[in-house]
This record gives sequence, structure tokens and C-alpha cells, in this order.
Amino acid sequence: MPRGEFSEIDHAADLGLDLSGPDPGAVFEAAQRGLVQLLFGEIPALAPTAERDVKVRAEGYPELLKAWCEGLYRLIEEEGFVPLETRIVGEGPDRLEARVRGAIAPRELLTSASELKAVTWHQLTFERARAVAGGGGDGAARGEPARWRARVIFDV
Amino acid sequence: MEVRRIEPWLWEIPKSGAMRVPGRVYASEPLMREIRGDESLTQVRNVAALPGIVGWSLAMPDIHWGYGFPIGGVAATVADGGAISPGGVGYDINCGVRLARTELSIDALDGRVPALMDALFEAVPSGVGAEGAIARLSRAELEQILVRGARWAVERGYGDADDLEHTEEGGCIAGADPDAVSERAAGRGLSQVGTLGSGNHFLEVQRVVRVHDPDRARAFGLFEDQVVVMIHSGSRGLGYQTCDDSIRRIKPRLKSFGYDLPDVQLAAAPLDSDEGRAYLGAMRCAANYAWSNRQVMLHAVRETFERVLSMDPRDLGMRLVYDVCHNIAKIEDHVVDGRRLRVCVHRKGATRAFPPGHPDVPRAYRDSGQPVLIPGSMGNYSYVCAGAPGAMSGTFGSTCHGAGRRMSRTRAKRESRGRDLIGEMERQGVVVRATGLRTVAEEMPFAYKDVADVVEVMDDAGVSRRVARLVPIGVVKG
Repeated sequence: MPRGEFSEIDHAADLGLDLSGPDPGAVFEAAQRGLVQLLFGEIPALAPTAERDVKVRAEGYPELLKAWCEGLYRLIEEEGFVPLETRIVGEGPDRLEARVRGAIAPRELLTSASELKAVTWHQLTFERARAVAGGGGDGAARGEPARWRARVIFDV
Repeated sequence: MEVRRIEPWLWEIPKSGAMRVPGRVYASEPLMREIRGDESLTQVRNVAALPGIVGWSLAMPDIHWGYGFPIGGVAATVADGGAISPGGVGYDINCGVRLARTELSIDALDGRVPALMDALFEAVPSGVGAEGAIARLSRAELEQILVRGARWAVERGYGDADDLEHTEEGGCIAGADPDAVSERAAGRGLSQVGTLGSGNHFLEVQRVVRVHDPDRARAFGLFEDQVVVMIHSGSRGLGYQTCDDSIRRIKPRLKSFGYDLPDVQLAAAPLDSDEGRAYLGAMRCAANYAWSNRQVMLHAVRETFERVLSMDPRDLGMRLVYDVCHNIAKIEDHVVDGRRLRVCVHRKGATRAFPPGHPDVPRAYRDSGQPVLIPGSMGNYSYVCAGAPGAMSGTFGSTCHGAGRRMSRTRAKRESRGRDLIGEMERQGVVVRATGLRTVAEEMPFAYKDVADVVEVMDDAGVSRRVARLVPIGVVKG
């Protein structure tokens, strides 16, 4: 079952994602799905046939999110490997290890994708929503746990 | 934010807070209304806080919201101790435009445009991670490109010396340092020379529909109904990676430089620091890579025209009018507050526009001014302009670079749903060949400002003069 949610951001020149989830791992999972949807227009209807391990390190969750998106894009650019599912193996504020299931895209699908120039630092955030008394936090109803929220903008 | 109109085409943001200089925005009233709709004026103000900035933090009329710097921004910092900012150049280092003219009138293509565009689409790889235009390079050969730029391409038969004469910096900027380019960046560059890329990059076969300035058009070899080719691309993965690597290296050092900047994407280093020198050396490598990239693409275009039209090179007469970059930082001499000063001019989405008589303008154009190439939105018209004296007094020798977005990519895609965009373009007489429909949707004319309004502002301001207007008859999109 996919964890975490994503939505596309309206930015003047580029593309971006708002992400949320009950824990940081869910946010990273949502980032994988959101990135693929942004680049290909929709999640490609490919059956996962292979796995890749992605391990990234950074100082803090925001930079970890940037590094994670860069690692995923590298699979697409260098191998034509489209990440379709993510299983978080381990994570903390300075490291993320994940097993990504996906498939090698046919050439015509790959060339039709948007090219990513960079995962930027612009408006890059990743934080636990501030808790409010009696409630779980930003957007969460009383009794629900606080959510994690993140934003990442891509130069395309 | 206080914004004062000081000329019909010029607005000023007075110095306040952390600003070291005022901001200045070139725009008509209608364009200013659009500019106020996003965060770009705040970014003009933020850029004014760069250490060592002189004159003004400038914005061209095609300004829109970028990262750190606005796109369409110009900032000059003192070369002696001032800052250099990778964000002031952007990820696509030496993204630029080249225009080649032919001896052909439009009727010479009668009925052959679809075949020509099919062949160009094949000859110039486009889309994500496009590669394979030429054989994968060795690392040693890549280093030659990083140092020699378009000269490398010409020495290997991709063009001739005349092309170099008509390229900004002769297609090769001095001071490139391949040791400053990371392994990752170099690796991304090994197989992408001669490729278009994606996003707003394009290759267009165009027709000269109007000559505004007959003398300058003659100097540039342009005439009405002429077939010309415009290529818009940059330094591909190597340049993107170089920018990202540099910001990553500079960011943790900001405190030690004594820099307190309002946006992390403005990350900057003193020009005389290790980090500043390394960025400048690596950026110049990426700039040279981009000139080589566009040179190899032009060669492929020439060969394709000759093959499809069964013409020999002499009859085709495809010669480079000019090649300009619009994302770069260059060390130049300018007059600031009445005295000559060596400065680092950051042009992010801005084109150099040197006037008649300037020593860096090719000899053939010394009387007319440097050709300035301003692409419009896909399928819409573009302009050839010429640098004018107002550029030296008001904009550090710079002008606009394009139409400038007015709508996000996400919204453009939303508004394109259910429309036959390629069919619409074909009914307007434009043959489109694209790797993906989404980039076509993102780049449709309604997503951009009218480039005619943009160039008119710079003409009125005496910064760059309109010379000719071009319309596409065929488009290759990544």
C-alpha cells in the first residue's frame, strides 16, 4: 500500500512537489512516486522487474530529500530504470537506505520524459508539522499523530 | 515593496534593509503588472544584497521567478574581492541561442518541411538523457572540449573557422579549469555533445517575416522570406552538475566569508577565494562544453539540409549569424559611477548586447552592434536585435533573453488538456516534432509573455535595437 501523499506545485518556471506522510519514510516514498509522475506525466504502467539499492547521506532531512531525488533521477538518466515502488530499509536525519523496485523503460518512454536539470535548494523544507494542544499537528484532527511535510522544487 | 517609475520603461526599487544598491526593472506598465504577480521583485531586492555588487540589481522585461536570482536578472560585482554566485548563472551554464542563415527563400522548401523536420529530429537527439549524436568521448577528449570549446568541434570537422568568428568569445572562454569539474559532472558530459535536451530547448527552422532595420539586417546577412535555423540549448548534464556541485561546496562556507544572504540559492563566494576560483574555472569549462554542443548540432543541421534538399554546401550557404549565451558570469570592464571598473557580470536569463564599436564585437558587425538573439515561445515569433549604447550605460552590456513565462508548467499542462496542440500548430503552418507531448503543452505560446512586448521595452530604452522578426515553420522539441 503506497504511503505518504504528494501534490504538484504551481511554480512560475519549474516543477515541484508538496509531500506529506505520518513519518519521514512515508514522505520519501511519496517523493519517489511524485518525482516519477512529474517526469513521465503519470506513473508508467510498467511491471517491476528489477531492484536497486539507493543509499544517500546528507545533513538533515531537507538535504536528504534532495539527495534522495537526485539518486532516483540518476537511475532514470543513467540506466533508464524507472523507480516504481520504494521500501525504506533504514532512515534517520542524516541517512536513507531504500530498496527500489522498478523496470527499465522502453527508449520512447524515456525520451518523452521531462529532463531534470537539478533538484534545487529553493524552498526546500522537510519538517514535522507543529503540534497543537489536543491535536496531532498541522492539518491533523484531534487524536491523530502529527504529520511530516516537505517541499522540493525541480529545475527542468 | 516600494517600486518607483523613473522612465516610461524603467522602474526603481529604492535601497533599503540589506540592499547595497537599488534595484532597477526594465518594463512597460502592462509587463510590470505581470511581474508583480510573482516573487521576482523580491529576488531583485535579494540580489542587491550580494557582497561587492555595484550599480544596480537589474531585471530585464522578461523577468520571472527563479531560484535566488530571478530569471532575467543581471548583477555586476567588483572583480577585486566581490562575490560570484553560481545561482546568478543558473544550472544550465551557457544556455544560449545560435542563429544560422541560408541562401534559401521560403519557396525553396515548398512541400519539403515535414521531411526536413523528420530528418532534423533524427539527427539531433533530444529528450531526457539524450546522447549519441557523436561517439562517446574519452575523458582526455572531454578535457579538450572543456578547455577549447567550439574550437574543438571545428578542429574535428564540425564546422569551420567562420563559425568561431561569429560566436560570443569565439566559442571558447579562457580560464577554464578541468580539474575543478567533478567526476560526476564529467561523466554526464561524455555522451551528450550534440544533443538538444528537453524543457524549453528547441531547434527551429524559421522564416524572416519582417526586417525592422534594413542596414543592420544587411550586415547580419538577413532578408525577408529567408530560411534561417535557430538552436536553443546549453551545457546539458555537465553544466547542471557543475552548478549543483558548486552551491554544495560554497553553502557551508558562507559564514566564514562573512556573507549573510537572504536565500540559500544566492550562495556566493569571494572571487578571490578557493571556492570562487574553483567555480569560475568549472563554470568556464561548462560554458565551453555548451559552445561545442551547439557547434556539433549546427553541423548536423547543415548535413541534414544538404541531404534532404539535395544541395551542395555552397548553394545552401548556411552560415552562422551569431551565437550568444544567456546564462553566464564574465569578467568585463564597465564604467560605474564615472570610473572604469573591472566587474564580474552575472547574466541569468540575460543576453550580452554590446554596441557598435565595442572591441569584443566581431569585425563584421563592428558598425552594427553585436547580434542579439531573442527566441519567443515555441511556435511563436523570435527576434534578431542588435546591441546599442544604452546597454553600456544602463545594463552592464546586457538585454533580455526571451519571452519570459507568465504561467506555470503545471497550469499550462492543465489548460492544454483535451487539445490537439500539435494539430493546432500545424494549422498555423508550424510542423512540430517532439519526444513528448507534455513538453509541448508546457511550452505553448499562451504560457509565455509576448516577446514583441519584451523587445519593444529594450528598443525604447536604447539597450538593444530590433533588426528582424522570425517565425517558425518547423520545430524540434525535446
